[in-house]
Amino acid sequence: MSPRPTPPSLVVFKKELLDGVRDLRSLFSAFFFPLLGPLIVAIVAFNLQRVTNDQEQDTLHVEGAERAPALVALLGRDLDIQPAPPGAEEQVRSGELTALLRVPEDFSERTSRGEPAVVELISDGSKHKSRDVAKDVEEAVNAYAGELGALRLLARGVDPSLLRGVSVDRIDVAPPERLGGDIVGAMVGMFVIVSAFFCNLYLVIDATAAERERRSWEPLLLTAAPRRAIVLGKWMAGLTFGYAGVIATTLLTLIPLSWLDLERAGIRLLISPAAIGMILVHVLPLAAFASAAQLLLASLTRSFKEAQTYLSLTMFLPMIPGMWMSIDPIPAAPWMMAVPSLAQQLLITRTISGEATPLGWQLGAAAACLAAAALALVGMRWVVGREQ
Amino acid sequence: MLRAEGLARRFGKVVAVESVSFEAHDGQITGLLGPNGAGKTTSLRMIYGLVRPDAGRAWVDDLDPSAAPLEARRRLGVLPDSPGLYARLTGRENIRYFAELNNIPAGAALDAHIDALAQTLDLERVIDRPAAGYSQGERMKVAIARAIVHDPPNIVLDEPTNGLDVMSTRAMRDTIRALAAEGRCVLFTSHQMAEIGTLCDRLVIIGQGRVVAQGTIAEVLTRAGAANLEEAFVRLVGHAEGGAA
Repeated sequence: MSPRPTPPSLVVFKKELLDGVRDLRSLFSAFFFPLLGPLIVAIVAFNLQRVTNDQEQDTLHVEGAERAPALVALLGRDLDIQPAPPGAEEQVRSGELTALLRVPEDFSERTSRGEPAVVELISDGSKHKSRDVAKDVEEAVNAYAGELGALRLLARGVDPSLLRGVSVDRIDVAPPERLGGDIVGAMVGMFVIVSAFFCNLYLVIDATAAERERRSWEPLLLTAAPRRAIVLGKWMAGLTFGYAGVIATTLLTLIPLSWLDLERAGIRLLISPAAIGMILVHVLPLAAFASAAQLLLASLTRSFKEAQTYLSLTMFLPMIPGMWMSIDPIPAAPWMMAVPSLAQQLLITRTISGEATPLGWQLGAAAACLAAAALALVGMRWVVGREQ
Repeated sequence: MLRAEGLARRFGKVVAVESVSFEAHDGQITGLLGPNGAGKTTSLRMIYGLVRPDAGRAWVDDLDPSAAPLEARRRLGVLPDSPGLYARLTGRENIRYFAELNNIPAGAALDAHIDALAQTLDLERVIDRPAAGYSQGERMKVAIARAIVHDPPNIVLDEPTNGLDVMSTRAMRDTIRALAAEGRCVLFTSHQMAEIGTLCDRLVIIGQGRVVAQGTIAEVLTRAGAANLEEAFVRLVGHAEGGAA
């Protein structure tokens, strides 16, 4: 009994894997990227510490505090008031001090005469903390000015509320933990999604553009292997590398993230084995699409460098939804499930923030990715089949 | 047997092959000659089924490569003008990959066959080393083994002795003779007249996209009225180029 020949797609698949495993560059791109996961977690941890520190009082340095005791007392409710050292303005500029409030010498004189008084606020708008302090000071000064004005009107027998046509009562429904959770979720989602595109990058280029460059492409096409088997085998190898990278990235990011005390910063994330499993299921169709789309693109190029240039540029496309959502979390809509990477971004974010997603949406997202992958593979079959 | 019947192909406005007809018989070595750009490579690609002819037909045995490409390729072994080996695979893995792609099952029988090829081609020492470290001669020999591992009745060798040293060239010529002696149809291209003179049973000379002469060496010499092959080549091809101008 003679052994049966292996199907050509499997022959190509096995060869590309073997070639990829022996290629330092392919291995590096597949397994270096997931190692960045703990780095992302470290950034989250660092910011977490800052958020927690933010709950401590910020310091405001005041020059001439004795000239406006009532105002300073009001400021002292939210801020730690310190007397300004000499050259305080310069120190705000250089970043040593957060902000400086200068009460001019004629302040009490003007207020007692009922004239408008001016205080100078020196802050650095490019710094997050300085901006926050400036906002606090402005609010306190406005409140003080309003109170002062009201007292003056009362002293003249006028009802101060006459001056207020409309007033706003703000009710913010966003719980702070939700916002923080969305940002961390968007970051993690973006990172996992990019891994599906990055970890197979060099294997895909090596199996296409580099194959042309080293001139093994024509001998390969001169074998009795059908074109579709060659395309399929290369796609399976790209998918294997890409998905191995996705698994490594997901685990190396989410497990350390679950060790952080996120609750202290008011962020509630759901990182359970089930949630991690769900994320891996959601990203599998995307990895299938990534491998197919990158193969198609790389097979249109003629050299390793050309392929590398185009593929690294397109690497930004799947990042756009994640970047958008970490700045401005958008509400999910059914049509978004049809867009590869946007759909997965939403699904991952919702999964780790513990939000349920309709099953129909999940299936729709998978179907859209697989359809796009099939289309790309048909495209590549055409590219491979056309005349060289 | 390889056969071309009035093959023609243009790329845009450039006529690569105007009309090429020839036959290469089983058990014989047929040399395909022509200056650079004469249409040799395009003609060969039409025989491989990689390029579709605008007119005419090609035959690999009784198969038309445009109509039945996979069956035609299974009966064809090609050494392209560049070996194109996978550098990170060993010689054996390179050969085995192409054998499996040509439907030969992996296993002990295939490995024994590769060992036998390695012995014939004097590759035993290097067959299990990565191809990255091969000399030009070793690369060519592995590429030859890769082209014939599926035991094709038709073999095309594109400049098989290009860049080889004296010893490797001799070994390559012995291999080519042995392949023809086994009853295979061997078609090869070369620019070295001496090599063609010693190796070929028949000649096909292409100039300006047309076959300008074919037959045994004696027939070609008579037709050109020349004393040696180089002179015959220059006259025949020069005539074609002069005629086109």
